[in-house]
Amino acid sequence: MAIIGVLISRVNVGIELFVANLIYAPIAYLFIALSGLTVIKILQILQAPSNTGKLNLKQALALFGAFFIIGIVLTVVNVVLYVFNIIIIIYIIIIGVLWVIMALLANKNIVKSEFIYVSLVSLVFTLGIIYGALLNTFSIPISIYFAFITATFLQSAREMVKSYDKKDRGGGFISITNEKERDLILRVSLGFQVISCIFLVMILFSNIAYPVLYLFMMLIGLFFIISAMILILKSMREKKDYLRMSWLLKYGILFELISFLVVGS
Amino acid sequence: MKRKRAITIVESLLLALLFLTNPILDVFSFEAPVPEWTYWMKTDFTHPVDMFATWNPTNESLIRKAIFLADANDSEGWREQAARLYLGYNVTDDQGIINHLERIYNYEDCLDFDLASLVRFIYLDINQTKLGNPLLNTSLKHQISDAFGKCKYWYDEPHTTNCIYSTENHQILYHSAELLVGQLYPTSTFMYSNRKGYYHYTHAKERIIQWLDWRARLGFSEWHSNVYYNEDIAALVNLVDFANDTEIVTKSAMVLDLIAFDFATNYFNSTQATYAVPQGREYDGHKEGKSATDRASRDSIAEAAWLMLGIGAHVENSTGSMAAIALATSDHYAPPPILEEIAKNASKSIEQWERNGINMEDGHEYGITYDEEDITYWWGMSALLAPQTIVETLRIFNKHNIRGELEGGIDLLTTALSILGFLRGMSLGQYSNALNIITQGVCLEAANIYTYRTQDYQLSVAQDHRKGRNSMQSHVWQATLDVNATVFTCSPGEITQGFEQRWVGGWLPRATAYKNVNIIQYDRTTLPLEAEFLLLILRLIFGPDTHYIHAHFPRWAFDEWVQYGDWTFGKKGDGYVALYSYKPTWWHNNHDLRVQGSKNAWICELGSANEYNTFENFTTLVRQAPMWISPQALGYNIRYTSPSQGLMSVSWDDPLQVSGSNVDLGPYKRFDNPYCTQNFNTTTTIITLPGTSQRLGLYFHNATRRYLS
Repeated sequence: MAIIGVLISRVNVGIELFVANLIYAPIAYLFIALSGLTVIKILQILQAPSNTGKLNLKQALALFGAFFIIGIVLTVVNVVLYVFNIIIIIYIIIIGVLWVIMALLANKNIVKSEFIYVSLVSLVFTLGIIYGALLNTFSIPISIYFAFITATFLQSAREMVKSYDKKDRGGGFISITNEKERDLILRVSLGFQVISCIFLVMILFSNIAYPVLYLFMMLIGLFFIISAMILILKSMREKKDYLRMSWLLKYGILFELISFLVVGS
Repeated sequence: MKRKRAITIVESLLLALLFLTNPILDVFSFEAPVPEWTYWMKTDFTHPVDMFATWNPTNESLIRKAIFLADANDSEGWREQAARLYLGYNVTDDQGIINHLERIYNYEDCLDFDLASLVRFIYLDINQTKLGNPLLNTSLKHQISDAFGKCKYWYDEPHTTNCIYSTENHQILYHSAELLVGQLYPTSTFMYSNRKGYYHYTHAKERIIQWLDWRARLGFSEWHSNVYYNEDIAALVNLVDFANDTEIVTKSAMVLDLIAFDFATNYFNSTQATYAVPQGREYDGHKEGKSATDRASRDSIAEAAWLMLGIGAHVENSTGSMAAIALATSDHYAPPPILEEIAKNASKSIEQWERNGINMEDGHEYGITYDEEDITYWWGMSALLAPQTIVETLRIFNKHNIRGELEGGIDLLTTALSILGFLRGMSLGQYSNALNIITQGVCLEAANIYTYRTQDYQLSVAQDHRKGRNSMQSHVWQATLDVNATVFTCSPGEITQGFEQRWVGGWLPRATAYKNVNIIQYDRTTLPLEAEFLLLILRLIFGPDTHYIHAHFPRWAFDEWVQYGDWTFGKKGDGYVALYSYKPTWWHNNHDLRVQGSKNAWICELGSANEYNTFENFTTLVRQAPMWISPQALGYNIRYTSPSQGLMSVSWDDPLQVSGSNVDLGPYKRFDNPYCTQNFNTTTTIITLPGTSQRLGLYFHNATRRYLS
């Protein structure tokens, strides 16, 4: 996702900076993303201490700190070597604060932990788009924001549906206790998919360089997403096709990413 | 079934037999010999204009001409035969001349260079014959005429050739030859065009007038070209001497005056002179001085500039220049005396601004369409692949089966562009626009040139000239202390790979200068990813070693040189130069100072003993000058407090400011110097010499050339 952010925002960026960011962005953001995933692990440890696996809380906290610091250091090295950019440092700090806030909200049960899990999993990846873009330039094109919103909502929608995909190795974060809850989750997922579709289309009107090619990839992505939406509507009446929903959304995300690459290439 | 199989076998055998015997058949095939050309040559010409009705060439220019002719007469070169003819002697090398006819018969590229010399031979012989002294033997004249009759003069004639017609210098050379040859054989039918000489005369005349008017209004696309002014001068002097048309004779002379004025105001140091300016088209050999025994070649136009204006000095064995031969054997062209005076005066000091050319998108503003009617203007700018001209260019190339430029690789490039554009849902023109840092980068667009000269140094810069674009042969800035002690920078790569150039062309910087200080930034934007990938492949194949930016700083040419940190200093005579690099540098060899990568900021400051007393004082003050450079997404933010000019600031897009005031980076007037102020896109040039009553008026709108002393 960080690479996509670098690619989409490369207009009026020098070749040397662009190449450097293509290399640095994914490496540095990988550690930021890992720190976010570690927050999920910390939450799981807090909520089910007996079922923590090999990590204990102290180790998990240390890991979170290490990943986050490495991510910041790599970013600082990049901006010192190429273009000094305080905004990106501030952005990473905001991300770190966001992880902490979300963890606290979940731990104190102020917000349902399932919602925090789903949000974290999405944001861990999609915040990389803005990260990559900020490395290139302060003035981020609007297509970056549209791409971020699209990816976040679509990723969240899939995470919600994944709970129904019993064959998915990762499993889901949401434990469904009754039919009412299931329908609510599906409705929320549907809503998120609608939002992602809207912003996916809006990218087309945001002055991108290659609209025809983007349109082609976007339509393929929309096909998968809309198919998933139809399945969700059907499954509200019948308990079927949950696996296929997740599968369709997975491919929807894939083509969405490819279309983002087209926007930036 | 069996019958079908038998038929298939027979067919296959027949095909195989055909394939195998074809080469054998070729051996036994005979090409019918091309018949000789039947023609009638007109010889009764009278020059239509008395070029020296009101003034005479200076005595000094006549002496220079005599010196040159004496040396040329002793030379064995084939072009120098014209000197013998002019002086009334027969040529000594018939075979050498005949050998050059093969180029015409074989339609080899640059045959127009030879045409110019051959045309001069014939007309000089006609002049001598009028005096009762025919010199060329009949057989040689006949062979030359035969070659003239079989030549292809323009791309729209039949017969596919490898000749390039598109560049500015090729255009005038071909048009000049076509007019003069058409004039020689007006009623004869030329063998390949199947048109009479008078058609060729008319065909060429229209294009010559157009070419001359473009030069008058808009300057040269191959601006300041050290190499190609040589060709332009030869073609124009031929027209002045031999054309039977007042307008063409007068306007050609006026354009020659403009070239002479260019030399007069841009040459540095009249004793060991050097054409120390940026150039639209240049070659490494003229710029790179490797050592005291392997110096940069003398300017190709050096002899011409000496003959015209007395700039520099004549070199005895340097008599083969087309331009110099033409000037020396001309009875009808000499620059008006005012230009010689300006050359002497200007070599001491000058600050001037000038403009040559227009930008690709400015066609309608200047009344130049992108259609076939005016396409040669753009071709003269090397704008074959530019977004505005690529489609029309391909249409014309295919219509007339033009191969010269295509075989330079353009057909391969345009095919690739078409495919990639199709994949992106873009037309060829649109995709060319997506790659415009290359497709438009090679174009010789508007150059706003600033020159600052003192008696000790010269700084000349094409201001803010197409930054971040990839150029074929442009040389954008130069600091000069003498003919060898020259400093400039270059970022080689991409298109220059094909020309194996390392010191001209490549990725152009943003160079912004004020008086003796030049701030240079190198960077470029990214291309579509597939284009970047292609460039990477090309770089790996042709030049993996070009991922650097380098400065030409010939340590051997300076009396003294020293480095302090990021600053490199040189001293030559009373002139000093300082060069700063933002990135760390290393010496690749004795004249090549390099930095890694494609982005860098350089600062060049010049000084003299007059300004700083000593070289040590200069190095101390310059290297202690406060400076702040911050890399940006594109280019740099630079603040430099020059010891001579004060605070200077610039970035990739912002204006150059000196002490808070914006410096004019263009567009400039056509000429803006103590001798001439002329707005761009106007057709009247008035050149004066301050302090005298001398005045040269060039009025292109009514083809009037008036010199008053």
